[in-house]
Amino acid sequence: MKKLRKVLVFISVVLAGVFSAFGVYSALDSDFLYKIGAQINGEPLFSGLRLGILFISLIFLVFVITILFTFKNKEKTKEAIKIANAGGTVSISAQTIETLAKLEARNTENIYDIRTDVVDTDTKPIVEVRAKVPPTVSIPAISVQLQENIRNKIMETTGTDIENVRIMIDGIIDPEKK
Amino acid sequence: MTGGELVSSNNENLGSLKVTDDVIAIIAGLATVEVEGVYSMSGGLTGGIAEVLGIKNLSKGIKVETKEGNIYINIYIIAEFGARIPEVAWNIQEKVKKTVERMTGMRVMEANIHVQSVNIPKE
Repeated sequence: MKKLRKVLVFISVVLAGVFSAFGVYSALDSDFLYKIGAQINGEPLFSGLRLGILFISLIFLVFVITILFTFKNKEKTKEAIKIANAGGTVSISAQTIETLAKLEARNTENIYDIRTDVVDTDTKPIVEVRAKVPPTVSIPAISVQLQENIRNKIMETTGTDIENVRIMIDGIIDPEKK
Repeated sequence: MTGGELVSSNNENLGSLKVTDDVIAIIAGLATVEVEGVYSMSGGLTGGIAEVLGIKNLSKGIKVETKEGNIYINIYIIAEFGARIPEVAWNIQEKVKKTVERMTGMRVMEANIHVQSVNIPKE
């Protein structure tokens, strides 16, 4: 159901984008407009009608960008950890966990080009880390170190343990050339 | 704007006192930013646009609900990197509860903290 919603939103956004581009183009290109409607035919480039279309199109474009931004933000700010205490609840977003993992990974030696993600589970979150390493290091050793560092940092900051840290080394990098 | 209503119990002839949710939100917002470990409030897209336009929103990142004279507050923050979130959250809850109750005379039933992100320190 969630996937279907995502697909529907994606299609809506693409369609809205196409319409926006159509609107902007029709406001700027007189030939295009000429073919489209007799009413607009012969209008000068900066006529009220054209500027009106341009204005509406730009509003529509801003609307599409807003939808995209909100959708992206909602994904990031969804809660990953929820703790109840005497004063109410404390929710920690997936983005918070991701940022903590990223900053901790940055402090780990020989880890480059880090990308982090949080996978929701019913109980505890799983942190996924993709990174590149130099050609001289032992990947298992560096992974264990990274997993421990991230887990400890999240535990220390949030007071909650995570399910695990999944590491994917997806490239070799020369740190001197970087 | 809906608001919590507090009627003077000593002398009802004086009238009534209404505290709007906006006012409670501002009180809670000002109390929250004073807590150590809070980098800023997280106000979402509209809050961001308002800030860019130079509009100072003291209730940014605060959602208030009042039910039968009780207050329920949701607080959205960005934490400082390195801060212990449970401690920071507890301090916010305590401070907001005390401040709002002292200023309004209404009871804060829940102060729910939502940590949206952590501040990335400059390298």
